[in-house]
Order: sequence, then structure tokens, then C-alpha cells
Amino acid sequence: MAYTDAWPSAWINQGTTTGTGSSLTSNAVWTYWCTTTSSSNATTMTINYPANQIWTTWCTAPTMSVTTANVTWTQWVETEEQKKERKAREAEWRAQEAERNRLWQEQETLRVKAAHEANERAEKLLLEHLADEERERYQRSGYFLIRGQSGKLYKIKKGTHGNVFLLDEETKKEKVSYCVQPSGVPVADANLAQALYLKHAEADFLKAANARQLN
Amino acid sequence: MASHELEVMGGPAKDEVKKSVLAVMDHTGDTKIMWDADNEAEVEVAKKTFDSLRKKGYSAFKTNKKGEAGERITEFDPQAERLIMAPQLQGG
Repeated sequence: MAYTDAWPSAWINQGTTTGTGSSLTSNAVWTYWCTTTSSSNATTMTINYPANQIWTTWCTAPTMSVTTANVTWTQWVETEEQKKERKAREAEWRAQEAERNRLWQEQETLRVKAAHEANERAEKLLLEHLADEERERYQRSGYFLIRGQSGKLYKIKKGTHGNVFLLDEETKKEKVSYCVQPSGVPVADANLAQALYLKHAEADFLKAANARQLN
Repeated sequence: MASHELEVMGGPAKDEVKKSVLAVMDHTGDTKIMWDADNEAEVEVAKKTFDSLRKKGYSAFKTNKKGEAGERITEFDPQAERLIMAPQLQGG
């Protein structure tokens, strides 16, 4: 096989292009890797390794065994000692991750529990402020009816956004929906606040609300 | 007066005083502050809370414990049976 087949001329600018031997000149690319080759066929790439060439920073012997500590190859091949250290580090990372997961799970459980308790407390407060019939309606159907300060009839559904409706007196159909709520409180608190505003401060409720006419 | 109403039979013990309640809506559901209208220190704590929340934009509603009556108030009423403070409404 010719050298030029395996090693383009851009890499080697001189050499025997046929036969089994080669003598590369010092300014060929390949010679930055190895300055001499054996006399065997080039495709076998049996190489002598001068001490100060690039190839020797990868390995110092043709068998590719690593004999020095500070060469590139040692970044790829770890010693038993290094392997042990890596395993230990990985085990520590896994333990830290497991601990983080455990803490997150613990906090999440507490958060869910606190949210559940907050909802229960808020619902208790809301139910205390509803007439018997409306309390039953809220528990059964998830909404209650309320007369505003003006005497108009409103429906408040469990929820926080777009959950208040002005009802038609006769048909009880929803005519207008309102989106207005206090922030940072459980749903039942929001519903109680909506009811209190409608009963005692209807104008402020309507002023703050985004209203949408329904068909 | 509400804070001194005692149940004669089947209710709270004789030395138990019925207190007024200020329920402040918050992320926990609500935080309750109780006071006895005859106890100046308790009234002061409730009033300070009331005034502080009013400054933050909370609205105060006076109701009774059955939630039947009510009105919006702007000044603390130590004789109120129950006050509920709700954060300001925001259009969504």
C-alpha cells in the first residue's frame, strides 16, 4: 500500500510511496508525531518513539501502556487508586442526591399537609358565614347564592378566577361573569371575601372586577 | 356585652369568657386574634393588628358568629363579635 493512500500528502510531504519502508522528513506533519518509522509496511504503523514527540505524550511504548503520571493518556486510563477514589466520589454524590430527594419529599409532604389544613380552616370560616341552605348547596354542588348590597342575585362557585356570576332573577341563568379575588389565600377564603364584598361593598367589588357579558 | 355573655347551662364554664374574634385571612386559612372588650391589653393588640392590616389595604367586615349580619367598617370596634379582614381584591 502506498503511503499516500493512508497518509495524504498534506501530512507527509516526503516518503516512500510504495514498498515497505519510509523515511519521513522532519517537516512533515507525521514527523511531529513520530520521526521515524520502521522499515515495515507503513500500514502496520510500527513506530519508534522519540522522547519529545507528540505521540509520546500519549504513550511511551508501542504497547500503549502508560508509564508516566503526567501524560494525556493518564486522563483516559485511571489507576486502581483513581478508580477507587472515583467510585467513592460517585457514591458520595449518590448519597447527597438521595438526601436532597428525601428533604424535598419531606418538605413537599409538609407543604401539602399545610395547604390541606389551610383549606379546611378557610372552608370552616366560609361555612360559618353561609345560611343553612347555601351551606348545603356549597357542600353538595360547589357553589352558593348570595344577594349583593343592591339586591342583585349572585352565584359564587368554588374557585378563584371568573367564578362569580350575576344571575337573571327569573331564569337564574348566568348573565355576567366576574373575575376578581384576593391573593395569597385558600380558595374558600377567596370565596368568603367575594361574598363579603358583594354583601357589604358591592361597588368596590364591581370596580375591581373584570366583567364579561355572557350569552 | 358579648365578651361577658355566659351560658348558664350546657355552655362554657362559668369563669370562661366569650371573646371577640378578629379573623385575618392568610395563606394558612386564617389567623385568629381574640380579645375581651374589658381587657385593655387584649383590645390594644387587636386594634394594632386591625390598623396595621388596614394600612396594607385589607378590608374589614363586622359580622356575628352566625355570619348573618354584617357591614364593612374602617375603624376598629372593640365591641364587635367578629371581625373578618380580607386582602384587597384584585381583578384577574
